[in-house]
Amino acid sequence: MIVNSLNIQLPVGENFMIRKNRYFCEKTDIQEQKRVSIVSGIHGDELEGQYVCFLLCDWLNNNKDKIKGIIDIYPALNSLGIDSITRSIPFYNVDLNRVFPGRKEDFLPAQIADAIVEEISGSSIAIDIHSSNIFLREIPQVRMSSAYSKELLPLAKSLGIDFVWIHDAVTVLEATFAHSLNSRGTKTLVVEMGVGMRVTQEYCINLVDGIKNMLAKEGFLELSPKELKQPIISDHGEVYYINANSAGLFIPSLEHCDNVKKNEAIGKIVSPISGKTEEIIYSPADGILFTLREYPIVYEGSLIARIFGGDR
Amino acid sequence: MKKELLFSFASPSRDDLNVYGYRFGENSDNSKRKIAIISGLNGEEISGVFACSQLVRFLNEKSSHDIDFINCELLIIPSVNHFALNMGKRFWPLDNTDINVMFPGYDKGETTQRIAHKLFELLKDFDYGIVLEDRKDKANCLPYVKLIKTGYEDIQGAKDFGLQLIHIKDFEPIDSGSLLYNWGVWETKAYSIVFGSKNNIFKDDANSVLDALIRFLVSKNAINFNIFGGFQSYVLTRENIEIIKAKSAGIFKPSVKPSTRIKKGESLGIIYDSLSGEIKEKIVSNIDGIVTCIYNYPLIFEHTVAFRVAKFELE
Repeated sequence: MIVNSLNIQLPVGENFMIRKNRYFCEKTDIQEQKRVSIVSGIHGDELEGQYVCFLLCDWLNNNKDKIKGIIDIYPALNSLGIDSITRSIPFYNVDLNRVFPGRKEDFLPAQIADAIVEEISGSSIAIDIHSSNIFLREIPQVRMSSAYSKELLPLAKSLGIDFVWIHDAVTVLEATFAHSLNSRGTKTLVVEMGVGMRVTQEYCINLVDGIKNMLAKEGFLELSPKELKQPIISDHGEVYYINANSAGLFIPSLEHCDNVKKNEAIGKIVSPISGKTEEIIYSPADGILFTLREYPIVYEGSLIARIFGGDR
Repeated sequence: MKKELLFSFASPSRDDLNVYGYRFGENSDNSKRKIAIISGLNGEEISGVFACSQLVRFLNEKSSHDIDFINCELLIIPSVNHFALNMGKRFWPLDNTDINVMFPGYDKGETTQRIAHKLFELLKDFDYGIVLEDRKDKANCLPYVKLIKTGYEDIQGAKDFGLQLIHIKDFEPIDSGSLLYNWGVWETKAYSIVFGSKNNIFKDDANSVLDALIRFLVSKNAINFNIFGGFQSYVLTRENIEIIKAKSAGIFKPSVKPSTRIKKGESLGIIYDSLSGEIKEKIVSNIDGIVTCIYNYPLIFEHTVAFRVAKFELE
């Protein structure tokens, strides 16, 4: 059942909508059913979640008898951005994921954030699916603040995902969807995978299997939960950031997800005009190359790669 | 005056980002106050760049004729994000990130974190810091001093600018990366002056901000100059600003300007249906007060803040 839950008139002949597809168990009272929300498209240039939502809706359409609770699917929270290859809220140029929890009496992005929080609060679980941006390719991973890791880690493990990154609480991240929902009692996982403006089919298919597994474990689906592969967890090792120290064109010498040895070359930054190599970038540790730069133009400071070095 | 190259940042293809500062009173006694003024952190803050550059011109003219004119160490940085200014972008052009959410910066981090770090290393030991900003939304406002409510905000110092309004803004998480907030954390008395409209210079507003900056410098005995007094500033918080929103979307035509005094029931503007041309809404004020801020784009969204009105009892 497709529902438009927020309608804001746009100036010329159109409405801004938050659209969801709601699935629920038709055999029991809907008021008695707990709710999970699968959301995507907060950033309009991140499209992996679009395919995940399609695959999940497709499966649910054909397995309605297995649904035991309310499953709300929101493919495109920033619908204007999704339809215009724009990461932020078009017109305002504001990152929607930096204005949560929003406010009714504020500008349009804050109103949208407020409406999203109001809409999704009360769900027992939410999954916020992001791609990386256009610059980086990411291994499928769940990110969570250490403040909520105790509650969220068991859920993340049931997704069968490759990597769980537990990071320190950062004040600016308090303005995210995930923080706002977690602080209101909705256990909210943030999934990051793939690259902006593209769909990585393999990652999407695997994530849908993981979501179905988690929904089964949490009592939303009449399925037998499986024991999926266990993720690498960041607190079992260390995440190394590798940033460019030169400007130019980045040419990788390794593939994303490769295992890498300390001092092994990850790639080089070259100058198209001089024909010189400005910098060769070496790995600071043994580990897995879980983030790799996709967009070749770099400035000093541009993130080239992240390596997780630690127990596998 | 000394024009200094504060730092450079190489680009893959275009010219280097060369950030310049104008330093006055560089030979002054170390015990004297240090004041920094900065603008152009984003590419739409053209009004700030204009006001800062005019201040450089004023100080240069005065100090070249009077060696005792400057009585402090003063650093003015009219523009940081030239790359965005020179191509009509708001944020850092490659990755669309905002330098003014990256403070105090990180020297091993991303590009805009590194720029913020280089800047903050230069600015963190100043006694007073002033950042000229525009509003993030599409609005024309009376120029005002913005402070973040942290318990350390210097309201008395903000009054020395003599602008009509001081807005004490509630802290929000996004503020934690702003220059204004981080200056405060490092015990610099810091103020933001918010004015101007994206990609435009309103000469009257820019001149009043220029006067305000000079008035502030005079009040701190940083320059030897006489300037007419300013306003007795009115301190605004969320409680005494009335927000008047559009109930409809369409073509917006305001009938007042920032600074207009209005009475309850008076007309503020009209919203027309974009297709039929019919009047969809007549916006009227529900209080007595002074219009401080007006939405400034011809198309308006439903629920958009159309006007902000400072509540005053009018005689």
